[in-house]
Amino acid sequence: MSSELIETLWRQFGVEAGEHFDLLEKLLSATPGNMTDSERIAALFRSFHSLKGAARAMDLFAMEAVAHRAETILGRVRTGVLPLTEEVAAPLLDALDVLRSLAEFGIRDRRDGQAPADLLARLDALGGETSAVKPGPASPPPQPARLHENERMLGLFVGLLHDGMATLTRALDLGSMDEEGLRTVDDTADRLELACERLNFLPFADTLRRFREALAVRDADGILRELQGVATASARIGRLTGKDAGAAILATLLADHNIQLLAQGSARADALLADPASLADGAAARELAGLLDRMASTLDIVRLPRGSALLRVLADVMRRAPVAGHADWPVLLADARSALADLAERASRDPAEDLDTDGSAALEERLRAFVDAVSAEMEAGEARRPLSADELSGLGLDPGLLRFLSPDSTADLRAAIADPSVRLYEVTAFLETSAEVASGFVQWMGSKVRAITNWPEFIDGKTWLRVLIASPQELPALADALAGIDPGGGFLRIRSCTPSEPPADGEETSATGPVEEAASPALPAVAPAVAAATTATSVAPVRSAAAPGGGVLRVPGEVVDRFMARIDGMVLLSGDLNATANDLRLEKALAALAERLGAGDPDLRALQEAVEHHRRDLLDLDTQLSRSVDRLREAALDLRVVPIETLFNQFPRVVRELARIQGKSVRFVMEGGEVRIDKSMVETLYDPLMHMVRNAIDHGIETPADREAAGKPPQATLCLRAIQRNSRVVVEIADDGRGIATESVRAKAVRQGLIGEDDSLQLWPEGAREFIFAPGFSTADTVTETSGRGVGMDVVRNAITRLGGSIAIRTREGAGTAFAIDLPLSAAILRTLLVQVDAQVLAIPDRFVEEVCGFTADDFHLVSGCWTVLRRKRVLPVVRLADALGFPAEGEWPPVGPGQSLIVVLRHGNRRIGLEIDRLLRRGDLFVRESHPGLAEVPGVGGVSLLNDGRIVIILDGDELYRLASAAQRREAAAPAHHPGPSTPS
Amino acid sequence: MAKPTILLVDDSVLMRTIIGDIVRADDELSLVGAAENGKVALEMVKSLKPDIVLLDIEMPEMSGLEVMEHLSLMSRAKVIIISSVAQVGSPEATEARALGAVEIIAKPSGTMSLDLAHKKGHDIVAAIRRAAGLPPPVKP
Repeated sequence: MSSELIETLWRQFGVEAGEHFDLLEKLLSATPGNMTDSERIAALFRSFHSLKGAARAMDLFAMEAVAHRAETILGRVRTGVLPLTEEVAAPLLDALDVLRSLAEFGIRDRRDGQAPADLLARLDALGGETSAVKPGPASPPPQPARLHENERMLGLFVGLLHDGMATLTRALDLGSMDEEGLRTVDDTADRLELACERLNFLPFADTLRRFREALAVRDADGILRELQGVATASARIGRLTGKDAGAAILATLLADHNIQLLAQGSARADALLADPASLADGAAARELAGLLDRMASTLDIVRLPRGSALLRVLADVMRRAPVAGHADWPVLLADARSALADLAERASRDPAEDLDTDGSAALEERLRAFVDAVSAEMEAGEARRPLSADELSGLGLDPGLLRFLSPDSTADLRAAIADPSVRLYEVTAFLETSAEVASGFVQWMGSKVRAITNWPEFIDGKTWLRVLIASPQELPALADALAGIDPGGGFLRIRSCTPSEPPADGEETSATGPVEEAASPALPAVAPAVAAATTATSVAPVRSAAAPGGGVLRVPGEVVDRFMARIDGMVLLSGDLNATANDLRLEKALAALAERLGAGDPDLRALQEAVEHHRRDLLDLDTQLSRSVDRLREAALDLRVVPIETLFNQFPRVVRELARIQGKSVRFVMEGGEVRIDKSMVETLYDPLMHMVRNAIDHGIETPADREAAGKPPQATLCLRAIQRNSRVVVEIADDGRGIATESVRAKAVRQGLIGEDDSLQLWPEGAREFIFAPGFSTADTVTETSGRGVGMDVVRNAITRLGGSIAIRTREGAGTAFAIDLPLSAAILRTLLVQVDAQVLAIPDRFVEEVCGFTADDFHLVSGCWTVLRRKRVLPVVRLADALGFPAEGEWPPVGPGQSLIVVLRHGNRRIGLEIDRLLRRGDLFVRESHPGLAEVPGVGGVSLLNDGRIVIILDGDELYRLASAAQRREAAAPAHHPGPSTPS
Repeated sequence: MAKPTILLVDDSVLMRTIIGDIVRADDELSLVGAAENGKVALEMVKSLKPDIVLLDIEMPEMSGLEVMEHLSLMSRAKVIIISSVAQVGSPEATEARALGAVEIIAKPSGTMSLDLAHKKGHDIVAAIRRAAGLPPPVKP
């Protein structure tokens, strides 16, 4: 076994075991709403069973031992011996934990671990036995059951029959059926025949065999006859089983078929016969012939033999068309039309009538004479009959070639095919560059080989000539000859047209596709198809890792991240190109050049214009490329979203554990797991959600006794749900517990000095709730093991704000609490305003920016020690962004002299503050990267990103920025003397 | 003579890789397809018409035994059960036999150690060759 294969196996094992673990976790923690209990138990059993098998295959025997015991327990649950209670589920969850760590250990160290003995003992106690199932004594193979007495098998058979019937009836439409269709029908009949044999319905099997024989030789009569037999037999089986075996369908279809065939056939045949000119075209005549044959078969079934005989002769005549030149032709056609009309009318009577003996016999005679007379001419015409697309692909030729084959070239091609001494080749030639190559090639074509047809082909924007040739020479000889004409190579290529082989290996044909025969080393074949096929092959193994039941590709997260990084790299390059293409220096240089040249040297002028022209091309390309890169980036971002279920699924178990520890009974409901969010949010949301879930169980939900005392059901409900609203996601966590006592929040806020007593009463009750988000705030009187320390709701709010979201609370005392987290769909992409301070580019999240205005030095006024400007008749405090961030600030403050100062108006709730910046760059969508840990501690910094030109941009945190700006403003107010600006009022 | 064609049905990609590797190692056998569940398997049987089907029992959606019921009416393929559920004498084994399974063998184990891989692979290949009427494989 190769080491490469072993690596693959370990990887597959890791993925597969991981899937089973996740599924088991979910199934053991709660019954998903869309599953019945027995489905859940069956799925649990299967999952443990598969883990056992996988572990065994990988030599992880400790893991196998644990999985085997879990499987045994579920086997007992499945048969109803053991109920799936808490006492059973808990050790299974423990088993799951052990399995996880054993798998991890195995994957990391490539060796077996050790299962804890106490767990094995606990599992054994539940499993009711202590060792693996011992193989029993070898029993003689039981007699194959008499299958036709097995009701289930009969049911299956009737189902097969019923389903197959529609396919069988396709045989009625023989004329329009290709080989593929024929095979499908034959396959179905073959399977039904086999099923009949297996169930001992031997006469029925015989009927089907005869049907297949008729089908093989396209015997329309035989097919109809046997189908009647199938209808009879399936009607009998239907009566036997009391089920619909499809007999009714078949009978109806047959009757419909007959009536329709005659009616349609007559109308169509009449139309074709009425237009002798169109019959000169072989296709129309062949269509008519097929039609007439089918009508004749139908007439046989409805027992109108004279009509049938006449139609068959007529069909024979048509098959030998076009013979429009013959003198008797128009008269014959007219007579045929009237005979057909007569026949259609008689056949539609009830009961149907046949043609008159005399009239039909006379016409039949004349038709036969006609056939004899023209049959000699027909021989010659056969060669010019067009080839079918299937025939062409059979020869290794593109079916699209059909339109380049004239009757003459068709005859040539047929002759070449019939001649065993020549082979077909396809030459691809580019004759536009070298006159020698072109003339040499034309000469060679004229003397050495037989050209059948040629057609243009566009490769890389150039027109190549493709020529189909026949030659008795072998490929290497021809390639040598071409190499003699085109010594440099590259202009002439040749491949042999190899008749396609029927696919030998179903699995591999789809992946590899056709492979062109290499012409010669000097003449590499242009083979984009092969390149594409190779790519397909290398991608194919990924498919095998797809989750069952969907076209889902499982790709490791780091692959996506790497992909995104590559795209970001490409964005950078595209930015470089943009900068180069738009470089003003080049434009200026060209303009200067043009000016200098004036009306001077026309040659130099032409050169200058050529350069100018190229520059414009470059600009166009740059625009196109950046648009295409943008689209690529958008598409790639789609890869980063995952169903929120991935996050939610981590909670059921925590809820159970917590509830158990605290003696509370909680029903945990999850909704909207299919809503998709950015992968990065899953990680960031975990902690806040976990905190709120813990809070809900610790503080929100009462003990069953308390709940009953309050007149509530003893079991509490905790609901985690996600709802998508346009481009935002709302994640809600709601409990029906005791709610938050607003009064105690208010009192505590006052006690902690967060607000004055009077103010608090004004805020109360809605505003008071906001205090639970204040740093360090807690209403809980006891600090429990699980909550009450560590993160508080302030940290929760901060985390959510960092994701660009907000959190709201609804609570009613005694009825419960609900937190609603409102998030953007993607936290990774942030719309920002890019500004510059000193040399540093900074990004301010767009939703915090109200506007950007320009002010002159005169607009600045000192109000209460702070510099302000008047904006929309309101005083707007202004600070330098550099001051707010603690950057070294240069220049005068407030600004002096002419020119405008740019002020970004930062919005925070209902408050505004102005930030002076050096330069305004533009708006930009940034892909937020996790910032360097050191950078993250810098106040006001939310993350970093890269600009198209590769410069690093610092993304500011809106809330923090506002806080910093306000602080800077307060510092300023405290020390007004430090800022003796020119417009300071005295 | 054309090589006997084999279709492999197992819901585990790991098992498909391992068993597939074992079958492919025998030049006289041709693995024509691998299906991850019963439904896909029945479709593949229709189109690929394998001579032999290697079938797992425990699979989601449609169990191996259900697949066998369908197979017995629609395919001439010989069915070899590869499962650790169907121990000799178990109800599954009896039913699989009644439905016409020609062999029932255990899943491969100890794939990682080379000698075991040969030995276990030997069981599977031997069963396939018996079903296909080929001489037994050369002992490793």
